[in-house]
Amino acid sequence: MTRRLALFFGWTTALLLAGCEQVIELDTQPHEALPSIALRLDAASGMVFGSVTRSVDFYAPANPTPVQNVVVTLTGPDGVAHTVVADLGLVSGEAAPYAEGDRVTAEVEIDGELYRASEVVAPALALDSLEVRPFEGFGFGFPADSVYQIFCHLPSAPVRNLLIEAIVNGEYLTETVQCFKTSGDGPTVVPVLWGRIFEPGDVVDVFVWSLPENSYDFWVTLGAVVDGGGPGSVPGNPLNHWNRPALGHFTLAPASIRSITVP
Amino acid sequence: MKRRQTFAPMFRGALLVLLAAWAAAAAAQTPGRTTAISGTVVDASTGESLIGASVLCLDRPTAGTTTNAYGTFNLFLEAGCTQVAVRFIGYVTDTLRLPLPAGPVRVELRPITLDLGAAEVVAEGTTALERAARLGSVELRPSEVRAIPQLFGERDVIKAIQLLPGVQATSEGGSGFYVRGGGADQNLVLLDEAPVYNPSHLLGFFSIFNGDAINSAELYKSGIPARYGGRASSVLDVRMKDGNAKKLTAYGGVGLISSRLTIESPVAQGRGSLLVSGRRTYADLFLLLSKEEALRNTDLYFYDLNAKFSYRLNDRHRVFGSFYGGRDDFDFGDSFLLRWGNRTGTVRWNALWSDRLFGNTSVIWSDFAYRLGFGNEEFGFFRDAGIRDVQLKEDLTWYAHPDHTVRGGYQGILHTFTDEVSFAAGSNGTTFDSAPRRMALESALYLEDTWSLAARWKVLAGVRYARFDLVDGPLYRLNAERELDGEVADMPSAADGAHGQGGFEPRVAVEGALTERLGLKLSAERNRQYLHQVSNTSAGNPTDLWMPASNNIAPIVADQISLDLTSGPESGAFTWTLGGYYKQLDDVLEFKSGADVFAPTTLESEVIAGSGEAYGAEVLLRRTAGAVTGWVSYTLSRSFRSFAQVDGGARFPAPSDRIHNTAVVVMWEVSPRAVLSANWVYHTGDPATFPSGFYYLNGRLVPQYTERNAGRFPAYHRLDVGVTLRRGAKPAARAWANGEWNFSVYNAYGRENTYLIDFRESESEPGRIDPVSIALFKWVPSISYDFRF
Repeated sequence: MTRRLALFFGWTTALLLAGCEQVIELDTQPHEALPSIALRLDAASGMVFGSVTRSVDFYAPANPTPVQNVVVTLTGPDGVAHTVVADLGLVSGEAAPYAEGDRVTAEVEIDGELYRASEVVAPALALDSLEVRPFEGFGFGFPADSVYQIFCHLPSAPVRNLLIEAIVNGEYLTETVQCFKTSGDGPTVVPVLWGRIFEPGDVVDVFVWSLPENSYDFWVTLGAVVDGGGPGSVPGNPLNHWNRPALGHFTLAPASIRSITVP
Repeated sequence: MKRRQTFAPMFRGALLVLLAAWAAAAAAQTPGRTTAISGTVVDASTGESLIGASVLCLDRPTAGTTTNAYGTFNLFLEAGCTQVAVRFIGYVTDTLRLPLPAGPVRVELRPITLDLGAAEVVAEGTTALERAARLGSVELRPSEVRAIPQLFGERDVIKAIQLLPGVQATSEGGSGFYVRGGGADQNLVLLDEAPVYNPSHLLGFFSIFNGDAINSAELYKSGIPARYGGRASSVLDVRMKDGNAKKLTAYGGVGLISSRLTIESPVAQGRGSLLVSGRRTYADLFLLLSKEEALRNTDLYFYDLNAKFSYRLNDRHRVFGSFYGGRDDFDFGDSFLLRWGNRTGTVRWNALWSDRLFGNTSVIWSDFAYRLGFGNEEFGFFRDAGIRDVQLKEDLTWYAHPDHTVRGGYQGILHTFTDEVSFAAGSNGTTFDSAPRRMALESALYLEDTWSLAARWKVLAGVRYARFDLVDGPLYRLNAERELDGEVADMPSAADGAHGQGGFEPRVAVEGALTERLGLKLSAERNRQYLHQVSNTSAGNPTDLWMPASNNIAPIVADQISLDLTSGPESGAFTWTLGGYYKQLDDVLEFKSGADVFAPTTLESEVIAGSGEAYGAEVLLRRTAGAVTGWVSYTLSRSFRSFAQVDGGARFPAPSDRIHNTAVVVMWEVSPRAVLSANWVYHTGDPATFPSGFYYLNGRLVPQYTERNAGRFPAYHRLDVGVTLRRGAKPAARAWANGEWNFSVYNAYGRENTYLIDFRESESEPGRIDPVSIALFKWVPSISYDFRF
């Protein structure tokens, strides 16, 4: 009787959900190719990195293409301009360290057109320490092997907007955008990449960026778009501060970096 | 924020003209010799109040009224009226000969049964004036709802109203609904006068309304009387049964997904009645059979309980007590939980003070709360939020004059809002963000007059003044960029100086009979809504947030004009209705892009305000008599929104913008033993925002979007069929065996209607992206057995 009930319920469910996916034709809006200017300036060290590419049609088999002949200029409150040249669309170089409250302007010249954005350095929140904990698993018996999670210990401080990223064994992890706003109510413990699983021997570099408010909004929206949508997310391009139509963002923030090896 | 004034001068002018005309007419008219009668109309077999029964003078059919929400009526009769007819669909008409004994009269109508023969099983006719009075609203009775095949075999009043013109389901199988381009939160849903903030179970696939416990449901789409307020688009007024005051009865049903049982009983030798009705799903009981401990420990159920007590103190005074409690619980092992529940309670006193004055006093309580969690109590992320109301309401109806029925009253609601986000991490549990409790007093005074202007015309003029005051909790300061300016602890408290806002809500309607068959209703109204439900989804879900108006948040203001026509013979089967409307909305809210919804103390800075516009035309053709009954409805409509921060302020289609919307509902009584039913629905695909390209950003491939809602899902259509089988002429020995079997198939031809679209790499052509439509249901069969003791 029990087995018959289970079979009946199972067949009903199967019938209910049978054949519920199919590829369809959609009428989409015409694609407008825009430059994607993704710049990151670590206010603590002055290191600059990023990429400048051009968007492609959604249904095109090709990936977005790097933009050639790009010149990036960063100017701080002292008026000193630091020029970084992009090679094959990749930006890498050094400007100068900047302090809390400093306004830095980024100008990106692409094919004779100038894209400009500016940002103010937010107060920094230094990462106290990292902690490795065994992962106890989800309730359905997965995973079975010993795996671990890494937790950030953050000190007591006023409310901060944080972007938490990680490089694992030299690889920059992109599948999750972790934005986190501290409560300002004391020390905080946050799982890295929302509890991502790490394995013994993993070497993990954790970056905690202290963002100004509008940058935080951009990264939260980007996370929702990249992760397929979540509460508060509406399909749309994250609002940025470039002065001309463009995608991407100029993020200026002090980074706090710590490393740990999973035993 | 600039307030539109488009309709205000028109409203003020119309109100002044009406007041002047009323005063002149009242002064000029001489009542003559009139008789006032009053009483209640009930079901002869159960004692249940009949809401909306017609009471009219047979010598002068235009002089009539209908019973109110408590089954009570008052009527002026002029000299020469010798007979009064009391009639209600599904019941044998009763004729009262005048003069009647002094005091309120109790009219008991006999239900029409098959024993009475086909000659009496006809639809009760209505005059053009009576039909005109019902334009802009729709009343559904349980018998109509029961006949419609629905998802999982449940007879759901909300799913039934979604088949009517001007009303749309928010999503496949969902209990949310749009009315004439309004948002899902702009519908005031009442259960015995108590507001229900989330009328859904099982993520919307069921509503909280147990059909066995419901007496009536009336939906106002336009011409909303001034006694209702607080929502911008519509009012769904659901009334519970009082209970059987004649004999003990029990009935219920057993189905694939849920079962229900209702018990009704007389109390105090028929002076009162008691009803208790419960329902529960049992999908989780099958999980107990699993060998996996985690599955056995998974909770997946909902239940609800309705209870009502009524007592007739004497011919003039009655008291009622209603209660509803329901809960949904989804706990998946240690990874996810979602729990929510509604509870309402109403204590009500009806008083027929005289043949001309009726009063109702209600004390009402309503509580909605939910918990959303990821993880478990040791390590998890939780949100706990809710809204609680305590309300006092007084309504008086004064039958001042044969041509004037005046209603007035007061309503005061004390709202309490709670919202907390917390994180548990072993011994380092932290409350991320807890919004201090906020309390608000929403109060209103209203006055309305139904003026019989001539033999075939009525004017309904009313005004409501509503006010919303924050009386406790912080007032948040926002800077020019709408960011929180300062710490929550430093914010001024509303208790030190209540912050409030309010305004008038004029309501006017003219209804009448252009000819013997043709009725018309023209209405204009303003509605204000001080509670916003903010959601990023169009479907609405239990975790949507209710946000009060405040120093940073303005109320929604909705202005609507509507014209409806109806025609049909006085005693006949077919009627048709045509309607058109235009609606403007101010200060509708939406989350801004990148909103941080998990921060209760900054929510006011995470929303943006905009405007909306909706217009449309509706057609309804209905057959109410004969072996084959049903209706065909069609709506042609547009609905738009605009926000300065979205697409440069350009307007875009609202989630409710389904240009074409059709429903065909047919019920065929093949024989006394069998009824076949079917409904077919079609609507234009939902607006959606699709990606047009890809770009790189810090190693991530990110979709590039164009304008909001510029794309559309594929069109939606499905066919539901059902059959009801009853026992033959020879009853079974056991009472429970005399029930009826119901078989139905939801989506009978298996249309894979798009519920969401996922974009994936093509399997046949790597590198190409394919849009993949994901449907929620294909064929959904259901079987249930309804029994009665």
